[in-house]
Amino acid sequence: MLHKMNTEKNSDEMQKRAENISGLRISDNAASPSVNSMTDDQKLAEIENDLNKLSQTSERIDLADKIMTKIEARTNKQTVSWWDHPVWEQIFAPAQLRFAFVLFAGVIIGASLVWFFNTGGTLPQQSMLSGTMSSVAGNEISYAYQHASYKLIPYRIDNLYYLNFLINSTDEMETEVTFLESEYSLVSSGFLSKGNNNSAYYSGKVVFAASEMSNFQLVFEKTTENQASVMVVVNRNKNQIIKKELFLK
Amino acid sequence: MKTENETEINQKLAKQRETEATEDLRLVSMVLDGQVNAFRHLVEKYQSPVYNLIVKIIHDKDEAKEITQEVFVKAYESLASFRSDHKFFSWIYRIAVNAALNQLKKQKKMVGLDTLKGVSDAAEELMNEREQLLQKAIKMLNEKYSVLIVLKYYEQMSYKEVAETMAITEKKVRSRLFEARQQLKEMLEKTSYF
Repeated sequence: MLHKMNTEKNSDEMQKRAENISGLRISDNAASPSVNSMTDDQKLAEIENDLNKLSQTSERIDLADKIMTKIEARTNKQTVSWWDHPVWEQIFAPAQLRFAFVLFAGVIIGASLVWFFNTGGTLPQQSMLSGTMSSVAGNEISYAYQHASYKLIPYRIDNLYYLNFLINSTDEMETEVTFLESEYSLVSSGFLSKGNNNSAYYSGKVVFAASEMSNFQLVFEKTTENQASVMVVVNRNKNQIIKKELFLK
Repeated sequence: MKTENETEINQKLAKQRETEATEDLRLVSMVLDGQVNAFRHLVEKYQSPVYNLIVKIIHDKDEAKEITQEVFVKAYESLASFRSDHKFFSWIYRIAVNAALNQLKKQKKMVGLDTLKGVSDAAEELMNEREQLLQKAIKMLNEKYSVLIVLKYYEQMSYKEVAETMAITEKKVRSRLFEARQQLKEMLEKTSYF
């Protein structure tokens, strides 16, 4: 039944296709009288028979040289990546060893990056940076312990020294910065962002206390060529946790 | 209805193909071991059948030569994926059929169906009217049917071999070929074929 429906549905398409068979004249009465006398099965059998007798025209060609040239050209083009190079295969013969090497290298690189970002570690070349702005290597402070983190990032622009204190602590962190007024002139000081905090200024001394997320900045100008230090002392809950002498050059 | 002679010939062909398949596998493993030149033997053996198969699908001899080259290059490049439980000729025929069908799609996009309908070759001139009608009706079939007709009747493959080449079941091959003959009948009924 379904087949019959499909046949009817496709009959128009079949008519069109048949009309496209070139050199053929089709009319409503195109079928010869013998068509009517043949059953569908007979027609199908006849087609099958003719299909089996289809002309086996085949042509011999010789493209072997062209094909092999193409293959050789492509084979020579293929480059071995550095990792697939036989040297590596010899050194790290078992795949597991290669995997272990990659894992180990990953851990080392990862640990280095963690150290660099957490401790304010600097590259050796950083102190040699030239130009108007450079960091002041070796004077950073980094502290992290029990819900408190404290960081001092100093940098220099021309003869101005910027000391940025970044505090994030549930406890109050008190900072005392002492300097020689004959060597340093205080250009500015104050909180850039505030949590709970307060600050005080004395002669040759700046004191500020802060908790939560705070950012305090001090800007000094070096007035002489002499070498002079700045002392930073940090207390947490009245306990001294950091004492560092900064040599700003 | 097939005669006993035809059955005998088919059996001999099948046996011959089995022997050739074993030899092909040996050549394939040599190529995979790095002996590139062993692939030349496979090329020399199958280039003409592959070419003729492609011609029968796309009806363009120049294009068929190009595609034949591409087929062998592709076969070489993906030889590592060839499964030894398959026959090499089925595998390369499948690559050829796919490449030819892709080309056919491109041709249709470029020139449209009507131009394709006019394609004929010198061989057609030598055919009797009845065979010409059948050939042209085959060209009018949907590709999924015409390819099976080419493999089964022109290439004289067994149902099993056609199934392997087309990566479909033998049952599907039989049913599609039946549908193909039905469609041919319906087209040819409207001509002076019967």
